[in-house]
Amino acid sequence: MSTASVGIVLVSHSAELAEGAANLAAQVSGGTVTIVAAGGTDDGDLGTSAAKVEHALRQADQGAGVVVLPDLGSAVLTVRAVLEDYASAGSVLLADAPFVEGAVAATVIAAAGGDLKAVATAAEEARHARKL
Amino acid sequence: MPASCEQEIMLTGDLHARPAGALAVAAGRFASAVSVTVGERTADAKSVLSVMGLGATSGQHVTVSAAGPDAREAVAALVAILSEATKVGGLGSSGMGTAPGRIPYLPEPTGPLRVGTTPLYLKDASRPDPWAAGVDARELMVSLWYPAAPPDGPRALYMTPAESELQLTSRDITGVPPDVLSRTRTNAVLDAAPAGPHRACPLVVLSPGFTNPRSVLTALAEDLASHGYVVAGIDHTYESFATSFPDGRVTTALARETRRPGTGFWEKVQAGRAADVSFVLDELTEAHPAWPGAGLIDPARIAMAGHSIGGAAAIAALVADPRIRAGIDMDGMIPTAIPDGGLPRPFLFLGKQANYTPGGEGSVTTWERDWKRLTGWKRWLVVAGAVHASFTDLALLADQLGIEVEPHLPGARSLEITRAYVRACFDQHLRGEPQVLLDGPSPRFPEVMFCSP
Repeated sequence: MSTASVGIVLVSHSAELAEGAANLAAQVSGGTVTIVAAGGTDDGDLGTSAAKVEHALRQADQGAGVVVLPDLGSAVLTVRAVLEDYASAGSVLLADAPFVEGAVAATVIAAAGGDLKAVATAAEEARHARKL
Repeated sequence: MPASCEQEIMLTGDLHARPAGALAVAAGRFASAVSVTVGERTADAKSVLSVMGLGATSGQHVTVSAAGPDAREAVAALVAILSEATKVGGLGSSGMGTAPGRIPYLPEPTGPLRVGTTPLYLKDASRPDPWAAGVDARELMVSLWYPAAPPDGPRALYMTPAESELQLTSRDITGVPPDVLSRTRTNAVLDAAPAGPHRACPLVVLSPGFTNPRSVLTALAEDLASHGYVVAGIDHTYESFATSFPDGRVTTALARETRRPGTGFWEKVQAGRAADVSFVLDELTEAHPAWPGAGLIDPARIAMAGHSIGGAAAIAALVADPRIRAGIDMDGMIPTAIPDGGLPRPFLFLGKQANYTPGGEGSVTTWERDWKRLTGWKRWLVVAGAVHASFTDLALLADQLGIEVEPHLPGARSLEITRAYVRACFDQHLRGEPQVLLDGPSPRFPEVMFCSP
C-alpha cells in the first residue's frame, strides 16, 4: 500500500464484543485496514478504559487519521476524556453509528481508500441500511 | 469519456459477508457510480451493507452497472470479483488467496522513552561460518533497539514480506496471507537518532529460539529500550528460517539439514551462539564500534537473555565472556553444562510450568543440573499456562491471527509477564535497583511460581 488508510478504533463495554466486531470488519474488508479493539476495563470486566482507548488511538493512527466507534452512549464520555489530552485529536473523528454495522461499513470504505470524512460518514450512514 | 456499462452474471455462491466486502472495496476505488441489481432490488456497490442487504444467493442472476469515466473497468473488475468470490467455499478458495484477517500488532512499550531501531550487518573474519561450507567469515544480522530522539517517524517493519512468507511456509502455516507478519505494527521508529548521554544505557543481548528470527523478541526489546536499555537482537545465520541481508540475500535454516541425532548438534549451536554474542559485543563496545550510537552503551553493564536454545546460549555466553554480568534462560534446555567451577554471576531461569517444574523428566533435568552450579544470585520461575512460544511475540501473534496453537495463556498476558520479569532481573543486576518481583510470588502475577529444587 503506498498511502496509509484511515485507522478504526472500536470502543465497547465488552472486550469480546470489540474484538469480535473488529475481526468481522477485518474479514469483510480484506484485512488491510488497522482496526483496533478497545473493549472492557483494564481488569477485563464490562466497562470502558481510558488507557485502552488511548493505546488504541496510537496503534490505529497510520498518518491518515482515525475514526472511533463507541458501542453505547456511555462509551462516548470515556473517548471524549481521552481526546481532551490527546495530541493528535484533530485527526480523530468520533462517529455516531450502530456499532457492528458502522464498523463494517467504515472499514470497507477505509480499505477502498476513503479519507477520514468518508469513513466517518459511512459509519454514520450505516444507521439507514436495511437488513430485511 | 463518461460512459455507462453493464453486465450480467450468474452467482455460483451466496453474496454474503466476505464476497460483499470484496466487491465494495473494489467498487470504492472507481470514480464511477456502481450498482448491483438482483431481481427488483438494486444496491450501491460501494456500500457493503447495501450489497449484503440484497441477500443474493447462488444461482441468482446479478447485473453489475456503472456510469462514469471508468465505467467499463469498474464493471469488468466487479464481475471478475463476483465470479471468483462466490465460488464454492467463498473467499479463501483458490484465486482469491488466503482468507484475510487482522493486522497484528505488538503491545505498546511500558516505559517513558521513545524507541528507535536499526539493523546492523556484521562480519566476523576471524572464524568461518559453522554451517555453510566454504563461507570463511561468519556474517550476522543484528537489530538494535534504543532510546530515541524526536521527531517521530515511520515504524520499522516487523520483518520483510519475504521473511514472513518463509517463516510461515516453513512451519506449514496457511490460512493467513503469507506476508501478514511483515504487516505487524511495531512501536519503534526506524533509524531514529539515539538519545542519551555517553554510556547512559546498559546493554541487553537477546537470542531467539532455533529457526526463529530476532524479530520474535521485538515486544521485549522495545519495552526494555523504552526504559532506557540498548538492546541487541541477533539472528544466528542459518539457524533461522529466514534472514535478509543488505545485499538482498535471504538465508534459510541450513543448520537444520546437518542435524543428526547424537552428534552434539545442540551443543554446537549453543557454543556457536556464544561466539556470535562475544563477537557482537566486540563490535558494539570495543574501539571503532560498528554502530554510530554505540557511545550510548555502558560496557560495564551488559546482560543477556535468550529463548529456548538462545537461553542455553546465555549460559554458555556468561561462562565464556566475563563482560556479560547477568543472564536469563527462557524455556531453554541446556545441552552443555556449566563447568565444575560454577558460574557466580546472577542468573534467572524462566520456564513454562508444564516442562520446567523441578522433579520432572526431560529438559528440566538440565536445569536441575546447572542450578547446582549457579553459585551466585539465582531464581527459578515457572509460568502456569505458558507454552514454548509464550515468552516471545509468537503466542500473541497466533492469538491475533487465529492460528491454532495448543491451549495457552493469552499471548498478551504472557508477554506482560515476560517483559516484567526480564526487566526486573536486569534493573536489579545492571542498575542496582532491588526488585520486589524477584523476592517472591506477586499478587499481580499469580501465574508465576517460584521453585526451589
